[in-house]
Amino acid sequence: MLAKRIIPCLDIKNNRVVKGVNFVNLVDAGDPCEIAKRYEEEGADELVYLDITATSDKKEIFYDLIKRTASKVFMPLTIGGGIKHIEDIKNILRSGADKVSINSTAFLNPEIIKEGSKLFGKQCIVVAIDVKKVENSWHVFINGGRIDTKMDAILWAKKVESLGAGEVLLTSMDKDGTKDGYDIELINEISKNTNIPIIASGGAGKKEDFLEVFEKTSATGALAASVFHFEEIKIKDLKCFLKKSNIEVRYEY
Amino acid sequence: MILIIDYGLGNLYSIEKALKYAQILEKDESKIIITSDKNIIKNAKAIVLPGVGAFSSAMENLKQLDLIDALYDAVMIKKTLFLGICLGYQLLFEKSYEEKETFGLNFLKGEVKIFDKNCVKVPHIGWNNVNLEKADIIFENIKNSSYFYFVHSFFVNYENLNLKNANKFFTHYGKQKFLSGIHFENIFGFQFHPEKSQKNGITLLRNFLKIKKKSFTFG
Repeated sequence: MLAKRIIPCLDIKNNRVVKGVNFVNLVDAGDPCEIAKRYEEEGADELVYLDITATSDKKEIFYDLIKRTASKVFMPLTIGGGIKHIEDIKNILRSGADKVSINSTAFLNPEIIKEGSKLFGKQCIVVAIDVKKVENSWHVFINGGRIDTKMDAILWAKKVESLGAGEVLLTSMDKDGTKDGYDIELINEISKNTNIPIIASGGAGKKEDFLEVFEKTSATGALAASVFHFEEIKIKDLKCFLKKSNIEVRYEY
Repeated sequence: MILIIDYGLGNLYSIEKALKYAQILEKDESKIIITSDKNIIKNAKAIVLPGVGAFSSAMENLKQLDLIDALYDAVMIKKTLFLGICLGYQLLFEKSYEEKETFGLNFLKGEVKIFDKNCVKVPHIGWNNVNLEKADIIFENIKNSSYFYFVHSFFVNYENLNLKNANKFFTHYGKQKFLSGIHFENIFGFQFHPEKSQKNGITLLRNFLKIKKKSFTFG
């Protein structure tokens, strides 16, 4: 049976893992490669690097980091942050990553989804959608949550599926940072209206939140950053807990 | 010499790194060459055909690089040890119904079909169990029903599969059972990605190297 995936996300700036609240007061929290290795040993199913380096000439050194990671960690690696051109996707995949996660660019230039999935296969094109509730409807936000596109999230999810996205990484901005649990309603709504795997993101604070998202929605993966990073939740304990609660997880390492 | 075929599709870096890591553990010093040069194929001790992407463009690329006959000679006539991964596994079969009906390498009898979108989410992405029909050297030190990492929309249909003397590997996705791997003489093929499957994947690659070292004569 297909196992539910536990996916730690690392925020990366200038090739270092950074931690802070809402991207302010960032502190250096270590070498991504080392942390990736630790997550692998703990049993993470997949890994996401979110590059939040502001400059546009960051790429070469970032590719080296991807290469370094891919030579040490033998698990699926997704790269997000600042992907603008088909060439970026190509370079990232060639450096050893398996998927790219595209957010604002996908919205501003949906052709990149179509072209990317045609060239590299839809399985490596993840579209990240940041969603916030605005007067009873879910709006898609871009530019790191700063711009309200006013686009309906359900329509957008359907559109990205039809353009060839292989997965949706769905972040609830309302829940993000609250540690109050995933946005069950939003995840169900998107999931019901699409037929590609959905990764839930935003709101994880305790083990029960993961259980809830897998019990109440058809999300195939759950992503979290800080709870894993600060070891509030150990991936190994989490998987043991989920397994005992009859959720299919990979637990054998 | 281990040859990784580069036909313009897929993540060659990962498979190379995983093989190199397995080589360190196995103290295997064979050279790994990544190439699209058909003239090197005949000298290979083992051939790896990776790949993700579309079946039809893969066949098109193999044709343009003039690799099909060289692969046939090495794998089917000379019985060189072969490992096909993901799309490289699907290409082994007769044909695929991806986009349009496209003929594959036709080394093995069988067909590639798409998952039914009305039953399961497509692509099939994530860790799933691999079940063996019977014990196999490539699964030495790997438990039956272990998890491996999959990412694909098409699968090898096990019905009408006319392969006597082949050892088959099965996986279930929803209600769909599919052929997630095969071992036929010198040919190994897997739908999942050993290079992305952590310990189990590395163990599988180590077994592949062991088989290579023993210089099995197949057929």
